Amino acid sequence: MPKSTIGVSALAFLLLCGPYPAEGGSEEGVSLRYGGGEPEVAHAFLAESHFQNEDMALGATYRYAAIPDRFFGVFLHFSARPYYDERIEEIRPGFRIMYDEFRYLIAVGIDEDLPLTRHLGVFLGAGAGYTLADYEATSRAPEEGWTPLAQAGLSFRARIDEEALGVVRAGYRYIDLRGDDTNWWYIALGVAF
Amino acid sequence: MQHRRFERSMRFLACALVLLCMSCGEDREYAPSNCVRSKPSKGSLKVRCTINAEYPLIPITVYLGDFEEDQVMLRDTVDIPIVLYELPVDEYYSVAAEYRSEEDTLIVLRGARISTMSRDYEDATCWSVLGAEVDCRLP
Repeated sequence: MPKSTIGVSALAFLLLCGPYPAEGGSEEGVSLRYGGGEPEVAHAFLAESHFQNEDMALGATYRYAAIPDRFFGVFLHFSARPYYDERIEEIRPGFRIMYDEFRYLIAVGIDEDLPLTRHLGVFLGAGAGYTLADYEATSRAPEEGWTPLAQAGLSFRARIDEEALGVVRAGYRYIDLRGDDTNWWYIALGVAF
Repeated sequence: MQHRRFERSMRFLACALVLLCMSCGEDREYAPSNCVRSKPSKGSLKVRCTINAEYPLIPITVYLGDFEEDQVMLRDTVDIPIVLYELPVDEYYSVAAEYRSEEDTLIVLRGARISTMSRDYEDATCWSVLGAEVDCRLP
């Protein structure tokens, strides 16, 4: 079996069969209780960045906990490179044009946060996105299209209000933004309420 | 819990409305002495390029609109790293800097808009130009 198939199967298993949070009572039917004594939360907004050696993007994710008592949810993500990046295309042998490229990504997926302690957990997510792009000064268009999205890492949560939790996430993200590398570091800061 | 959320939302909405009303106040300022009262017809386009021993002269072409539209506004060959061109305002320009060597040719293509903006005072409307800058230097 190819490694990628094993990886996707493992991710799907963990997303569907992962452990429940420490305390899981829910009155509203759709909520997250992450560790004992924390407020129930169903919605989360995260300000995010994914970055690699010579590229980066800033964005935001809205996440909704769709299964009671677990942070198994769906997410909607948008991100964009906050600057134009140089791209060189070979038009014919010995003739190249260097363009300024602007690129962004819209993605949806499923996501779960698996608690390890009251504040610390592991998150896993998978989805699909569509990357759109534009070149400056030309009607020529850069490559656009679908990309799988997979992400995993550590999350930290702490109460910031009676009804809200502060959330910090850091880890790895796979997305194909038509550059040289599909592997990205990922950080996020947000609030769940 | 719902009541508290509602109360918070109302408080936030009230603050937003107050801020909005404060920004709606009438502007009773008078035009400064350096006010440009007529709309400028031209603005500057600054072009940066790489000049070195390998590339001592760089041909520059400025197009109106996208590069493919082929509406050439000017052609120039520069031997200094920064040049300024005066061009009509409220237009988008594409700039192609050509780096030719024995093996190949690299065109660095950049684009920018020269815009204008105005501000209304009690006694006049003052205009200013937002010049454009393109960086055609080699990476």
